[in-house]
Amino acid sequence: MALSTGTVSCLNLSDGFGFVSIKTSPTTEEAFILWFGNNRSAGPIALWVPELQLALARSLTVVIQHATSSAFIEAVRINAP
Amino acid sequence: MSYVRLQKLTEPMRPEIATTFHRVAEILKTKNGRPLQLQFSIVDKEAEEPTPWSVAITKEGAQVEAKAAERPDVEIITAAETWWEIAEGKLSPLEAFLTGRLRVRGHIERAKRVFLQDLAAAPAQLPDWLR
Repeated sequence: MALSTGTVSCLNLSDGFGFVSIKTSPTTEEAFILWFGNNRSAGPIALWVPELQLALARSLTVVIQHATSSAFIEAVRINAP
Repeated sequence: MSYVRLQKLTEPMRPEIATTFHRVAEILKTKNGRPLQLQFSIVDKEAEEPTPWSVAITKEGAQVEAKAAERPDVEIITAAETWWEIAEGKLSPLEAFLTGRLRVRGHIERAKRVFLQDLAAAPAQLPDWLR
């Protein structure tokens, strides 16, 4: 398990995919996958999208949990400003 | 859907993993020679921490070292087995990313250029959603 912390720089949502990019330093971005293909309805994803939208709008710090070598999101935490 | 695969980095036989990074350096140096620092963090099942490899393309040449890059433009984090599949041209780096077998951080646009164009086995059009 690994954690990546940063601010949301891009939220790219469509019927077939959901990607989020976070800025982990002024020059470093990391891309994560909310869903790709048919797993959109999977439980927590529906909750993560509004959380990430809020974080994007308010420049809040997010902590994304994922496997060390996987871009699939396992959990999202939003920190208060 | 088929995704862009890399040129074979392993010819003529499966070499030491370092050879694949030397091949990456060679291709990128020949391709455009633009300054670039790549880091490959290779996750081994038995090791707790990924093993870093750095590939630096400079005006003077290309260098591969078994250590983390100082300021990588792009970092790829993947399991050793996944990297071998990519290096052997059997798995697209994009497919590895989309199936949860690879992470990328740094300059995402540069990562796309390097791994989906510069190192690609053949020119291919990127999916619309990736442009």
